[in-house]
Amino acid sequence: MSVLKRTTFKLIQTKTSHPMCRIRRLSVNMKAAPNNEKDKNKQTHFGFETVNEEEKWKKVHQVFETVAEKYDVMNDAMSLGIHRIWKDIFMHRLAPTHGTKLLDVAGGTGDISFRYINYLKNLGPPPESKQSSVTICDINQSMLDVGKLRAQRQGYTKESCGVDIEWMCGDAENLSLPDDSFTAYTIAFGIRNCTHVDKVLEEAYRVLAPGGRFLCLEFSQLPNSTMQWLYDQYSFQVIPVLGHLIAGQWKPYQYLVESIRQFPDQEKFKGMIEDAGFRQVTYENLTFGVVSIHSGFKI
Amino acid sequence: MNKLPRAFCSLRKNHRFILPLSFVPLNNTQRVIRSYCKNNEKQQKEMVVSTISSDQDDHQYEENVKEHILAKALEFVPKTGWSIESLSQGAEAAGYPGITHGLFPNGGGDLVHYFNVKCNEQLVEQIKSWPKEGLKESKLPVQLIENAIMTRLLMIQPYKSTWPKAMAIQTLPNNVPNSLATLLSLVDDICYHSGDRSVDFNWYIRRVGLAGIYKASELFYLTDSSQDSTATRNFVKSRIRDAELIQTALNMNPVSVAPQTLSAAFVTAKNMLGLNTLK
Repeated sequence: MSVLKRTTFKLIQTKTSHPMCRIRRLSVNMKAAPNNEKDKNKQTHFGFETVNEEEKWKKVHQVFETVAEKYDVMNDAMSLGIHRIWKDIFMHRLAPTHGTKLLDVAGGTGDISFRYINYLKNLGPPPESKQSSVTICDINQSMLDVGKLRAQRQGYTKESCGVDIEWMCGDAENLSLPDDSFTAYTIAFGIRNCTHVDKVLEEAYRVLAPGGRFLCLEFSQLPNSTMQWLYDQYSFQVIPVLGHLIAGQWKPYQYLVESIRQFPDQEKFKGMIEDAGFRQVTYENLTFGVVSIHSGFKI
Repeated sequence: MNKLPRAFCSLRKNHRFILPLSFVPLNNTQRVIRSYCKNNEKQQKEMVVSTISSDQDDHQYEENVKEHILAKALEFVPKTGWSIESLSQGAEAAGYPGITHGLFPNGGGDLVHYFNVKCNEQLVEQIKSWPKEGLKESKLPVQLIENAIMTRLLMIQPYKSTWPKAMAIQTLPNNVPNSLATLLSLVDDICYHSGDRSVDFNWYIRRVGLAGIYKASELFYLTDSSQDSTATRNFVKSRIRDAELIQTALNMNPVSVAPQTLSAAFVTAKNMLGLNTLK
Protein backbone atom coordinates (compact mmCIF):
# COMPACT_ATOMS: atom_id res chain seq x y z
CA MET A 1 0.00 0.00 0.00
CA SER A 2 2.72 2.40 0.92
CA VAL A 3 4.33 1.94 -2.47
CA LEU A 4 1.10 2.77 -4.22
CA LYS A 5 0.72 5.85 -2.08
CA ARG A 6 4.22 6.99 -2.90
CA THR A 7 3.62 6.49 -6.58
CA THR A 8 0.52 8.60 -6.55
CA PHE A 9 2.24 11.20 -4.45
CA LYS A 10 5.06 11.41 -6.96
CA LEU A 11 2.56 11.67 -9.76
CA ILE A 12 1.00 14.65 -8.11
CA GLN A 13 4.40 16.15 -7.52
CA THR A 14 5.47 15.88 -11.11
CA LYS A 15 2.28 17.21 -12.57
CA THR A 16 3.78 20.64 -12.91
CA SER A 17 6.71 19.43 -15.00
CA HIS A 18 6.86 18.59 -18.66
CA PRO A 19 4.26 16.00 -19.84
CA MET A 20 6.96 13.80 -21.38
CA CYS A 21 8.80 13.79 -18.14
CA ARG A 22 5.67 12.69 -16.34
CA ILE A 23 5.20 9.73 -18.57
CA ARG A 24 8.78 8.63 -18.11
CA ARG A 25 8.46 8.93 -14.40
CA LEU A 26 5.28 6.97 -14.33
CA SER A 27 6.81 4.10 -16.23
CA VAL A 28 9.87 4.14 -14.04
CA ASN A 29 7.80 4.03 -10.90
CA MET A 30 5.67 1.20 -12.19
CA LYS A 31 8.77 -0.80 -12.90
CA ALA A 32 10.36 0.00 -9.60
CA ALA A 33 7.37 -0.87 -7.49
CA PRO A 34 7.69 -4.68 -7.41
CA ASN A 35 11.45 -4.51 -6.87
CA ASN A 36 10.98 -2.21 -3.93
CA GLU A 37 9.00 -4.82 -2.13
CA LYS A 38 11.46 -7.61 -2.80
CA ASP A 39 14.71 -6.08 -1.67
CA LYS A 40 14.50 -2.75 0.02
CA ASN A 41 18.14 -2.77 1.06
CA LYS A 42 19.25 -2.44 -2.55
CA GLN A 43 18.08 1.12 -2.75
CA THR A 44 20.27 4.12 -3.14
CA HIS A 45 19.89 7.85 -3.44
CA PHE A 46 19.54 9.93 -6.53
CA GLY A 47 19.80 13.44 -5.25
CA PHE A 48 17.25 13.55 -2.43
CA GLU A 49 15.12 10.83 -4.01
CA THR A 50 15.43 7.22 -2.97
CA VAL A 51 15.62 5.05 -6.04
CA ASN A 52 16.44 1.55 -7.07
CA GLU A 53 20.13 0.91 -7.74
CA GLU A 54 19.69 0.10 -11.41
CA GLU A 55 17.55 3.14 -11.80
CA LYS A 56 20.25 5.42 -10.44
CA TRP A 57 22.64 4.24 -13.10
CA LYS A 58 20.12 5.06 -15.82
CA LYS A 59 19.21 8.38 -14.33
CA VAL A 60 22.80 9.53 -13.94
CA HIS A 61 23.37 8.43 -17.49
CA GLN A 62 20.45 10.54 -18.64
CA VAL A 63 21.65 13.57 -16.70
CA PHE A 64 25.04 13.52 -18.34
CA GLU A 65 23.65 12.84 -21.78
CA THR A 66 21.53 15.94 -21.49
CA VAL A 67 24.21 18.22 -20.05
CA ALA A 68 27.18 17.05 -22.14
CA GLU A 69 26.95 19.81 -24.73
CA LYS A 70 26.58 22.69 -22.33
CA TYR A 71 28.88 21.11 -19.75
CA ASP A 72 31.68 23.65 -19.97
CA VAL A 73 29.51 26.72 -20.17
CA MET A 74 27.49 25.61 -17.18
CA ASN A 75 30.57 24.78 -15.12
CA ASP A 76 31.90 28.25 -15.74
CA ALA A 77 28.59 29.89 -14.96
CA MET A 78 27.92 27.94 -11.77
CA SER A 79 31.38 28.17 -10.23
CA LEU A 80 32.18 31.63 -11.64
CA GLY A 81 35.13 30.04 -13.42
CA ILE A 82 36.70 28.78 -10.20
CA HIS A 83 36.41 25.15 -11.30
CA ARG A 84 39.34 25.80 -13.63
CA ILE A 85 41.48 26.85 -10.69
CA TRP A 86 40.37 23.83 -8.69
CA LYS A 87 41.41 21.56 -11.53
CA ASP A 88 44.73 23.39 -11.91
CA ILE A 89 45.46 22.95 -8.21
CA PHE A 90 44.40 19.33 -8.49
CA MET A 91 46.94 18.70 -11.24
CA HIS A 92 49.57 20.60 -9.29
CA ARG A 93 49.03 18.31 -6.31
CA LEU A 94 49.39 15.25 -8.52
CA ALA A 95 52.60 16.71 -10.00
CA PRO A 96 53.06 13.97 -12.60
CA THR A 97 56.51 13.01 -13.80
CA HIS A 98 57.58 11.62 -17.14
CA GLY A 99 56.67 7.97 -17.34
CA THR A 100 53.41 8.36 -15.43
CA LYS A 101 50.57 6.15 -16.53
CA LEU A 102 47.39 7.99 -15.68
CA LEU A 103 43.89 6.61 -15.61
CA ASP A 104 41.46 9.52 -15.65
CA VAL A 105 38.09 8.13 -14.66
CA ALA A 106 34.94 10.13 -15.32
CA GLY A 107 37.12 12.46 -17.34
CA GLY A 108 35.09 12.38 -20.53
CA THR A 109 35.51 16.02 -21.41
CA GLY A 110 39.26 15.80 -20.93
CA ASP A 111 39.54 18.63 -18.39
CA ILE A 112 42.00 16.74 -16.23
CA SER A 113 43.78 14.91 -19.04
CA PHE A 114 44.59 18.06 -21.00
CA ARG A 115 45.99 19.65 -17.87
CA TYR A 116 48.07 16.52 -17.30
CA ILE A 117 49.45 16.70 -20.84
CA ASN A 118 50.26 20.38 -20.39
CA TYR A 119 51.99 19.72 -17.07
CA LEU A 120 54.21 17.09 -18.68
CA LYS A 121 54.95 19.45 -21.56
CA ASN A 122 56.12 22.12 -19.12
CA LEU A 123 58.48 19.66 -17.42
CA GLY A 124 60.59 19.67 -20.57
CA PRO A 125 61.39 16.98 -23.08
CA PRO A 126 61.00 13.46 -21.68
CA PRO A 127 63.90 11.02 -21.44
CA GLU A 128 63.72 8.40 -24.17
CA SER A 129 63.04 5.47 -21.88
CA LYS A 130 60.02 7.07 -20.25
CA GLN A 131 56.76 7.09 -22.14
CA SER A 132 53.83 8.75 -20.38
CA SER A 133 50.28 7.79 -21.11
CA VAL A 134 46.75 8.76 -20.22
CA THR A 135 43.64 6.61 -20.44
CA ILE A 136 40.43 8.56 -20.32
CA CYS A 137 37.58 6.45 -19.05
CA ASP A 138 33.97 7.56 -18.90
CA ILE A 139 30.74 5.64 -18.59
CA ASN A 140 29.02 8.03 -20.97
CA GLN A 141 29.82 7.98 -24.67
CA SER A 142 28.39 11.47 -25.25
CA MET A 143 30.80 12.97 -22.72
CA LEU A 144 33.68 11.12 -24.39
CA ASP A 145 32.56 12.51 -27.75
CA VAL A 146 32.71 16.04 -26.36
CA GLY A 147 36.20 15.32 -25.08
CA LYS A 148 37.42 13.82 -28.35
CA LEU A 149 36.14 16.81 -30.28
CA ARG A 150 37.91 19.17 -27.90
CA ALA A 151 41.15 17.20 -28.15
CA GLN A 152 40.96 17.46 -31.92
CA ARG A 153 40.27 21.19 -31.87
CA GLN A 154 42.97 22.01 -29.34
CA GLY A 155 45.51 19.74 -31.01
CA TYR A 156 46.11 17.15 -28.31
CA THR A 157 47.32 14.18 -30.32
CA LYS A 158 49.98 11.60 -29.60
CA GLU A 159 52.32 13.08 -32.19
CA SER A 160 52.04 16.66 -30.96
CA CYS A 161 52.46 16.06 -27.23
CA GLY A 162 54.33 12.76 -26.96
CA VAL A 163 51.77 11.25 -24.58
CA ASP A 164 49.72 8.19 -25.43
CA ILE A 165 46.05 9.10 -25.32
CA GLU A 166 43.39 6.46 -25.16
CA TRP A 167 39.63 6.91 -24.89
CA MET A 168 37.62 4.22 -23.22
CA CYS A 169 33.95 3.81 -22.41
CA GLY A 170 33.71 1.88 -19.16
CA ASP A 171 32.20 1.63 -15.71
CA ALA A 172 34.32 2.84 -12.79
CA GLU A 173 32.87 0.08 -10.62
CA ASN A 174 33.98 -2.62 -13.01
CA LEU A 175 37.00 -1.60 -15.06
CA SER A 176 38.04 -3.92 -17.86
CA LEU A 177 41.70 -3.22 -17.18
CA PRO A 178 44.47 -5.49 -15.83
CA ASP A 179 45.74 -5.26 -12.24
CA ASP A 180 48.69 -2.97 -11.37
CA SER A 181 48.60 -1.28 -14.76
CA PHE A 182 48.56 2.42 -13.80
CA THR A 183 50.65 4.65 -11.58
CA ALA A 184 48.04 7.33 -11.03
CA TYR A 185 44.26 7.33 -10.81
CA THR A 186 42.29 10.55 -10.89
CA ILE A 187 38.57 11.07 -10.63
CA ALA A 188 37.30 14.63 -10.70
CA PHE A 189 33.67 15.36 -9.92
CA GLY A 190 32.74 11.81 -10.79
CA ILE A 191 32.74 9.54 -7.78
CA ARG A 192 29.63 11.25 -6.41
CA ASN A 193 27.57 9.89 -9.29
CA CYS A 194 28.61 6.28 -8.83
CA THR A 195 26.18 3.93 -7.16
CA HIS A 196 28.76 2.01 -5.12
CA VAL A 197 31.55 4.32 -4.04
CA ASP A 198 33.30 1.49 -2.18
CA LYS A 199 33.44 -0.62 -5.34
CA VAL A 200 34.94 2.28 -7.28
CA LEU A 201 37.65 2.63 -4.63
CA GLU A 202 38.36 -1.10 -4.69
CA GLU A 203 38.72 -1.02 -8.47
CA ALA A 204 41.04 1.97 -8.17
CA TYR A 205 43.17 0.03 -5.71
CA ARG A 206 43.22 -2.95 -8.03
CA VAL A 207 44.36 -1.21 -11.21
CA LEU A 208 47.02 0.89 -9.46
CA ALA A 209 50.58 -0.41 -9.34
CA PRO A 210 52.37 -0.42 -5.95
CA GLY A 211 53.36 3.17 -5.17
CA GLY A 212 50.53 4.44 -7.32
CA ARG A 213 48.52 7.43 -6.26
CA PHE A 214 44.77 7.84 -5.99
CA LEU A 215 43.60 11.43 -6.27
CA CYS A 216 39.99 12.53 -6.14
CA LEU A 217 38.49 15.97 -6.64
CA GLU A 218 34.97 16.16 -5.33
CA PHE A 219 32.42 18.52 -3.84
CA SER A 220 32.36 18.34 -0.09
CA GLN A 221 30.84 19.86 3.04
CA LEU A 222 31.85 23.20 4.50
CA PRO A 223 33.03 22.92 8.11
CA ASN A 224 31.78 26.44 8.84
CA SER A 225 28.00 26.41 9.31
CA THR A 226 27.47 30.02 8.22
CA MET A 227 29.36 29.43 5.03
CA GLN A 228 27.43 26.20 4.52
CA TRP A 229 24.16 28.14 4.82
CA LEU A 230 25.32 30.69 2.25
CA TYR A 231 26.47 27.92 -0.03
CA ASP A 232 23.14 26.10 0.36
CA GLN A 233 21.21 29.21 -0.58
CA TYR A 234 23.33 29.64 -3.67
CA SER A 235 23.06 25.98 -4.63
CA PHE A 236 19.32 25.59 -4.26
CA GLN A 237 18.15 29.02 -5.32
CA VAL A 238 20.62 30.00 -8.02
CA ILE A 239 22.08 26.91 -9.69
CA PRO A 240 18.85 25.27 -10.97
CA VAL A 241 17.73 28.69 -12.29
CA LEU A 242 21.04 29.10 -14.08
CA GLY A 243 20.63 25.63 -15.53
CA HIS A 244 17.21 26.49 -16.81
CA LEU A 245 18.31 29.80 -18.29
CA ILE A 246 21.54 28.71 -19.93
CA ALA A 247 21.14 25.03 -20.70
CA GLY A 248 17.33 24.90 -20.72
CA GLN A 249 17.41 22.13 -18.12
CA TRP A 250 16.22 22.35 -14.53
CA LYS A 251 16.26 18.74 -13.33
CA PRO A 252 19.90 17.81 -13.98
CA TYR A 253 21.08 20.80 -11.99
CA GLN A 254 18.62 20.14 -9.22
CA TYR A 255 20.12 16.65 -9.12
CA LEU A 256 23.63 18.10 -9.10
CA VAL A 257 23.15 20.13 -5.94
CA GLU A 258 21.21 17.38 -4.21
CA SER A 259 23.84 14.76 -4.96
CA ILE A 260 26.48 17.04 -3.46
CA ARG A 261 24.54 17.08 -0.18
CA GLN A 262 24.26 13.29 -0.21
CA PHE A 263 27.97 12.66 -0.62
CA PRO A 264 29.85 11.81 2.61
CA ASP A 265 31.88 14.58 4.22
CA GLN A 266 35.68 14.78 4.20
CA GLU A 267 36.39 12.63 7.25
CA LYS A 268 33.93 9.92 6.30
CA PHE A 269 35.18 9.72 2.73
CA LYS A 270 38.73 9.57 4.04
CA GLY A 271 37.72 6.56 6.10
CA MET A 272 36.22 4.92 3.02
CA ILE A 273 39.44 5.41 1.07
CA GLU A 274 41.41 3.87 3.94
CA ASP A 275 39.02 0.94 4.03
CA ALA A 276 39.79 0.25 0.38
CA GLY A 277 43.42 -0.32 1.39
CA PHE A 278 45.04 3.00 0.60
CA ARG A 279 47.70 4.44 2.91
CA GLN A 280 48.80 7.98 3.74
CA VAL A 281 45.28 9.19 3.07
CA THR A 282 44.96 12.95 3.33
CA TYR A 283 42.58 15.59 2.13
CA GLU A 284 42.79 19.28 1.40
CA ASN A 285 39.87 21.70 1.31
CA LEU A 286 39.60 24.26 -1.46
CA THR A 287 37.38 27.35 -1.25
CA PHE A 288 36.33 26.75 2.38
CA GLY A 289 35.58 23.10 1.63
CA VAL A 290 33.23 23.53 -1.35
CA VAL A 291 35.47 20.96 -2.95
CA SER A 292 38.23 18.87 -1.47
CA ILE A 293 41.13 16.88 -2.86
CA HIS A 294 41.50 13.42 -1.37
CA SER A 295 44.78 11.62 -1.81
CA GLY A 296 45.88 8.08 -1.06
CA PHE A 297 48.74 5.77 -1.95
CA LYS A 298 48.95 2.08 -2.68
CA ILE A 299 52.17 1.25 -0.84
CA MET B 1 11.98 -24.98 47.04
CA ASN B 2 13.78 -27.11 49.60
CA LYS B 3 14.88 -24.03 51.34
CA LEU B 4 11.40 -22.79 52.00
CA PRO B 5 10.39 -25.19 54.80
CA ARG B 6 13.79 -24.76 56.38
CA ALA B 7 13.28 -21.04 56.32
CA PHE B 8 10.00 -21.42 58.11
CA CYS B 9 11.70 -23.56 60.70
CA SER B 10 14.40 -21.06 61.21
CA LEU B 11 11.83 -18.34 61.41
CA ARG B 12 10.30 -20.18 64.29
CA LYS B 13 13.64 -20.87 65.94
CA ASN B 14 15.63 -17.79 65.31
CA HIS B 15 15.41 -14.77 63.11
CA ARG B 16 19.04 -14.73 62.26
CA PHE B 17 18.94 -17.80 60.08
CA ILE B 18 16.76 -16.19 57.56
CA LEU B 19 19.30 -13.53 56.83
CA PRO B 20 21.97 -15.73 55.29
CA LEU B 21 19.34 -17.59 53.31
CA SER B 22 18.03 -14.50 51.69
CA PHE B 23 21.40 -12.91 51.19
CA VAL B 24 23.40 -15.73 49.76
CA PRO B 25 21.78 -15.88 46.35
CA LEU B 26 21.92 -12.13 46.08
CA ASN B 27 25.61 -12.14 46.73
CA ASN B 28 26.09 -14.92 44.25
CA THR B 29 24.41 -13.05 41.47
CA GLN B 30 26.47 -10.03 42.28
CA ARG B 31 29.61 -12.03 42.04
CA VAL B 32 28.54 -13.47 38.74
CA ILE B 33 27.89 -10.03 37.34
CA ARG B 34 31.15 -8.75 38.63
CA SER B 35 33.12 -11.57 37.08
CA TYR B 36 31.39 -10.96 33.76
CA CYS B 37 32.40 -7.37 33.97
CA LYS B 38 35.97 -8.33 34.63
CA ASN B 39 36.01 -10.63 31.64
CA ASN B 40 34.62 -7.92 29.45
CA GLU B 41 37.19 -5.45 30.63
CA LYS B 42 39.96 -7.90 29.89
CA GLN B 43 38.66 -8.59 26.42
CA GLN B 44 38.23 -4.92 25.68
CA LYS B 45 41.72 -4.18 26.82
CA GLU B 46 43.14 -6.88 24.62
CA MET B 47 41.15 -5.58 21.68
CA VAL B 48 42.37 -2.04 22.22
CA VAL B 49 45.95 -3.15 22.56
CA SER B 50 45.79 -5.19 19.38
CA THR B 51 44.29 -2.37 17.32
CA ILE B 52 46.86 0.08 18.65
CA SER B 53 49.72 -2.23 17.83
CA SER B 54 48.40 -2.80 14.30
CA ASP B 55 48.04 0.95 13.88
CA GLN B 56 51.62 1.33 15.01
CA ASP B 57 52.71 -1.38 12.61
CA ASP B 58 50.92 0.40 9.78
CA HIS B 59 52.50 3.67 10.75
CA GLN B 60 55.91 2.05 11.04
CA TYR B 61 55.47 0.47 7.63
CA GLU B 62 54.58 3.78 6.03
CA GLU B 63 57.52 5.48 7.73
CA ASN B 64 59.86 2.75 6.50
CA VAL B 65 58.69 3.19 2.93
CA LYS B 66 59.19 6.93 3.20
CA GLU B 67 62.67 6.60 4.70
CA HIS B 68 63.66 4.15 2.03
CA ILE B 69 62.62 6.58 -0.71
CA LEU B 70 64.29 9.54 1.02
CA ALA B 71 67.54 7.65 1.51
CA LYS B 72 67.59 6.78 -2.19
CA ALA B 73 66.66 10.34 -3.15
CA LEU B 74 69.72 11.72 -1.33
CA GLU B 75 71.91 9.99 -3.91
CA PHE B 76 70.43 12.17 -6.63
CA VAL B 77 70.76 15.45 -4.76
CA PRO B 78 74.22 16.45 -6.08
CA LYS B 79 72.79 16.23 -9.59
CA THR B 80 69.22 17.46 -9.38
CA GLY B 81 69.25 19.36 -6.08
CA TRP B 82 66.79 19.32 -3.19
CA SER B 83 63.81 18.99 -5.44
CA ILE B 84 60.78 16.92 -6.39
CA GLU B 85 62.86 15.58 -9.25
CA SER B 86 65.33 13.98 -6.84
CA LEU B 87 62.44 12.57 -4.83
CA SER B 88 60.81 10.99 -7.86
CA GLN B 89 64.15 9.55 -8.98
CA GLY B 90 64.61 8.21 -5.47
CA ALA B 91 61.17 6.65 -5.59
CA GLU B 92 62.05 4.97 -8.86
CA ALA B 93 65.31 3.70 -7.39
CA ALA B 94 63.32 2.27 -4.48
CA GLY B 95 61.11 0.36 -6.89
CA TYR B 96 58.10 2.68 -6.98
CA PRO B 97 56.82 4.84 -9.83
CA GLY B 98 58.07 8.43 -9.97
CA ILE B 99 54.68 9.79 -8.98
CA THR B 100 55.14 8.38 -5.46
CA HIS B 101 57.01 11.60 -4.67
CA GLY B 102 53.54 12.84 -3.68
CA LEU B 103 54.18 11.15 -0.32
CA PHE B 104 56.19 14.26 0.49
CA PRO B 105 53.88 17.23 0.08
CA ASN B 106 56.65 19.65 1.08
CA GLY B 107 58.87 18.40 -1.73
CA GLY B 108 62.48 19.49 -1.24
CA GLY B 109 61.68 20.70 2.28
CA ASP B 110 60.96 17.16 3.42
CA LEU B 111 64.18 15.94 1.86
CA VAL B 112 66.26 18.61 3.63
CA HIS B 113 64.51 17.82 6.90
CA TYR B 114 65.26 14.13 6.53
CA PHE B 115 68.91 14.90 5.82
CA ASN B 116 69.18 17.14 8.90
CA VAL B 117 67.57 14.57 11.17
CA LYS B 118 69.83 11.81 9.87
CA CYS B 119 72.97 13.93 10.33
CA ASN B 120 71.96 14.87 13.88
CA GLU B 121 71.50 11.21 14.74
CA GLN B 122 74.91 10.36 13.28
CA LEU B 123 76.52 13.19 15.21
CA VAL B 124 75.09 11.98 18.52
CA GLU B 125 76.39 8.49 17.79
CA GLN B 126 79.85 9.91 17.14
CA ILE B 127 79.93 12.21 20.16
CA LYS B 128 79.01 9.32 22.43
CA SER B 129 82.16 7.49 21.34
CA TRP B 130 84.48 10.45 22.01
CA PRO B 131 86.63 10.49 25.17
CA LYS B 132 84.87 12.18 28.05
CA GLU B 133 87.96 13.49 29.87
CA GLY B 134 87.99 17.02 31.08
CA LEU B 135 84.21 17.36 31.06
CA LYS B 136 84.00 17.42 34.84
CA GLU B 137 86.09 20.57 35.09
CA SER B 138 84.31 23.85 35.45
CA LYS B 139 85.96 25.13 32.30
CA LEU B 140 84.01 25.17 29.05
CA PRO B 141 84.68 22.03 26.95
CA VAL B 142 85.80 24.18 24.03
CA GLN B 143 87.54 21.42 22.14
CA LEU B 144 84.50 19.12 22.22
CA ILE B 145 82.09 21.81 21.02
CA GLU B 146 84.48 22.79 18.24
CA ASN B 147 84.86 19.18 17.13
CA ALA B 148 81.11 18.61 17.25
CA ILE B 149 80.38 21.65 15.10
CA MET B 150 83.09 20.75 12.61
CA THR B 151 81.94 17.13 12.37
CA ARG B 152 78.40 18.24 11.70
CA LEU B 153 79.49 20.81 9.10
CA LEU B 154 81.62 18.29 7.24
CA MET B 155 78.57 16.05 6.84
CA ILE B 156 77.32 18.63 4.34
CA GLN B 157 80.48 18.12 2.26
CA PRO B 158 78.95 15.78 -0.39
CA TYR B 159 76.11 18.23 -0.99
CA LYS B 160 78.12 21.43 -0.63
CA SER B 161 77.32 22.70 -4.12
CA THR B 162 73.57 22.45 -3.55
CA TRP B 163 73.55 23.40 0.13
CA PRO B 164 72.87 27.13 -0.38
CA LYS B 165 69.57 26.16 -1.96
CA ALA B 166 68.83 23.83 0.93
CA MET B 167 69.41 26.71 3.35
CA ALA B 168 67.01 28.82 1.31
CA ILE B 169 64.41 26.04 1.35
CA GLN B 170 64.73 25.85 5.14
CA THR B 171 63.75 29.50 5.46
CA LEU B 172 60.51 29.07 3.50
CA PRO B 173 57.60 29.70 5.89
CA ASN B 174 56.18 26.16 5.75
CA ASN B 175 59.59 24.64 6.46
CA VAL B 176 60.59 26.97 9.28
CA PRO B 177 59.10 24.88 12.14
CA ASN B 178 60.95 21.77 10.98
CA SER B 179 64.27 23.50 10.44
CA LEU B 180 64.12 25.26 13.82
CA ALA B 181 63.30 21.95 15.50
CA THR B 182 66.28 20.20 13.93
CA LEU B 183 68.57 23.10 14.79
CA LEU B 184 67.38 23.05 18.40
CA SER B 185 67.83 19.29 18.69
CA LEU B 186 71.33 19.65 17.24
CA VAL B 187 72.50 22.31 19.71
CA ASP B 188 70.67 20.56 22.53
CA ASP B 189 72.53 17.33 21.82
CA ILE B 190 75.86 19.10 21.66
CA CYS B 191 75.20 20.94 24.93
CA TYR B 192 74.01 17.83 26.72
CA HIS B 193 76.91 15.66 25.62
CA SER B 194 79.43 18.36 26.47
CA GLY B 195 78.23 18.14 30.06
CA ASP B 196 75.68 20.96 30.32
CA ARG B 197 73.16 20.12 33.05
CA SER B 198 71.98 23.63 33.79
CA VAL B 199 68.37 24.22 34.73
CA ASP B 200 68.49 28.00 34.96
CA PHE B 201 68.53 30.80 32.43
CA ASN B 202 71.94 29.64 31.22
CA TRP B 203 70.17 26.76 29.48
CA TYR B 204 68.65 29.19 27.00
CA ILE B 205 71.75 31.34 26.63
CA ARG B 206 73.94 28.37 25.82
CA ARG B 207 71.59 26.92 23.25
CA VAL B 208 70.80 30.16 21.50
CA GLY B 209 74.48 31.07 21.51
CA LEU B 210 75.51 27.73 20.08
CA ALA B 211 72.78 27.89 17.43
CA GLY B 212 74.09 31.29 16.38
CA ILE B 213 77.64 29.98 16.17
CA TYR B 214 76.53 26.97 14.15
CA LYS B 215 74.50 28.93 11.63
CA ALA B 216 77.26 31.53 11.19
CA SER B 217 79.82 28.78 10.65
CA GLU B 218 77.51 27.08 8.15
CA LEU B 219 77.37 30.25 6.09
CA PHE B 220 81.13 30.67 6.31
CA TYR B 221 81.67 27.06 5.30
CA LEU B 222 79.73 27.51 2.04
CA THR B 223 82.38 29.83 0.62
CA ASP B 224 85.35 28.14 2.27
CA SER B 225 87.70 26.64 -0.30
CA SER B 226 90.72 26.14 1.98
CA GLN B 227 92.50 22.82 2.41
CA ASP B 228 90.61 20.54 4.84
CA SER B 229 88.34 23.46 5.71
CA THR B 230 90.92 24.95 8.05
CA ALA B 231 89.47 28.41 7.56
CA THR B 232 86.11 27.20 8.84
CA ARG B 233 87.77 25.57 11.82
CA ASN B 234 89.51 28.85 12.68
CA PHE B 235 86.23 30.68 12.26
CA VAL B 236 84.47 28.29 14.63
CA LYS B 237 87.33 28.67 17.13
CA SER B 238 87.12 32.43 17.19
CA ARG B 239 83.30 32.38 17.49
CA ILE B 240 83.56 30.09 20.50
CA ARG B 241 86.13 32.44 22.01
CA ASP B 242 83.69 35.29 21.51
CA ALA B 243 81.02 33.31 23.28
CA GLU B 244 83.40 32.64 26.15
CA LEU B 245 84.08 36.37 26.47
CA ILE B 246 80.37 37.10 26.56
CA GLN B 247 79.89 34.51 29.23
CA THR B 248 82.63 35.92 31.42
CA ALA B 249 81.02 39.31 30.99
CA LEU B 250 77.69 37.86 32.03
CA ASN B 251 79.32 36.17 35.01
CA MET B 252 80.42 39.59 36.25
CA ASN B 253 76.70 40.03 36.83
CA PRO B 254 75.88 43.25 35.04
CA VAL B 255 72.31 43.12 36.36
CA SER B 256 73.38 44.06 39.89
CA VAL B 257 75.50 46.87 38.50
CA ALA B 258 72.63 48.15 36.37
CA PRO B 259 70.93 50.47 38.91
CA GLN B 260 74.23 52.28 39.58
CA THR B 261 74.90 52.63 35.87
CA LEU B 262 71.39 53.94 35.31
CA SER B 263 71.54 56.49 38.10
CA ALA B 264 74.94 57.66 36.89
CA ALA B 265 73.53 58.12 33.41
CA PHE B 266 70.53 59.94 34.83
CA VAL B 267 72.72 62.32 36.86
CA THR B 268 74.87 63.01 33.81
CA ALA B 269 71.78 63.76 31.75
CA LYS B 270 70.48 66.10 34.46
CA ASN B 271 73.81 67.89 34.56
CA MET B 272 73.82 68.31 30.83
CA LEU B 273 70.34 69.77 30.85
CA GLY B 274 71.32 72.06 33.68
CA LEU B 275 68.61 70.72 35.97
CA ASN B 276 71.01 70.42 38.90
CA THR B 277 71.51 74.11 39.12
CA LEU B 278 67.80 74.88 39.42
CA LYS B 279 66.92 74.19 43.11
